[in-house]
Amino acid sequence: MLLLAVIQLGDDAYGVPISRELEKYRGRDVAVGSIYAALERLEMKGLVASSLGDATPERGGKAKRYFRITNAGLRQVHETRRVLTELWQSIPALESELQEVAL
Amino acid sequence: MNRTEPPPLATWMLEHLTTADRDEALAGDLLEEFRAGRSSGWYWRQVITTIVIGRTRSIFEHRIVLLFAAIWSLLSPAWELTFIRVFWESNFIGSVWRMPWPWSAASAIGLGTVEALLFIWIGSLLYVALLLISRRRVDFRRLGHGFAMSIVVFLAPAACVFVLRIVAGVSSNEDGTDWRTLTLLGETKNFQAWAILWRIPYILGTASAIWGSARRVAKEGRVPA
Repeated sequence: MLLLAVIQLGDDAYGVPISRELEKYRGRDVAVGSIYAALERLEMKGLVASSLGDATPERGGKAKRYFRITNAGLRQVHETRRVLTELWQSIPALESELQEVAL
Repeated sequence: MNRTEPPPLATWMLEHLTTADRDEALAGDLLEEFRAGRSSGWYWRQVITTIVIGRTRSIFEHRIVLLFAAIWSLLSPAWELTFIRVFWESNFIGSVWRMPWPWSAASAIGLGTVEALLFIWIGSLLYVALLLISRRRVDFRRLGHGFAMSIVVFLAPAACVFVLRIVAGVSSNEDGTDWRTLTLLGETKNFQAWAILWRIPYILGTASAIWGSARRVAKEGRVPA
């Protein structure tokens, strides 16, 4: 989910928009600290890379840390999508149950 | 309260109780969100969560350091016994106790501190040697800082345990055991409550000395700004 948010935001992927994006999809508050902790782990695994932007006065002179997905990260996202799709396709019964509930 | 400025205590805690280099960007993000209309309660929750996550993560990342410090500190009673024996045989301890007060007490405390710090630093150097043997990179600047920090980190809890023993009325030789009959192995296997408590300053001191010595290496380095 975090990797998808970083991809979606493109060049504007730093803490604030990432947390807003996740809040939008999860429907509840997200701890910015937990986002940074997860992104650091992804960075250690080589799935994202980060760079510091310029310090701005509206942020108290503190720089933004921009994240971008690496090639390894992109491969990981595609692999996860493939596995999830296969898993969903292997449980058609659950899908029909959901459709019945929706009706 | 000035609406453009978040609670100052929370900001102070964010700046002083978190460690990683990411925290400047994180502090900027929280400030940006606060100025965009988030509440003080939201700011406090974010700061506390950040501190808890950071500390928990730091402890987990340093689990090898803590494990080494705990194992090394098991030997501290045996080290103390060795130290006492060496100085007793050289008649040094006897001459210390014959000094007038407060020189006798000051010398005994100084001697005990030197003994403990030597133990902590020898253990730390052993840990660094293990790092180098396993081809890990060592951050010698942070190691030096850690050695200096270990003095305070050892002395503060050691003083607390010392005072606690006095308050509880426990003498260093409450059961009248002659230290000359004690063995190094027996002292290492001593897990009575006070022996365990007395190891805690050694664990903390050793852990603080080597806490930042091993360099973290990412698979892909950070992209320069």
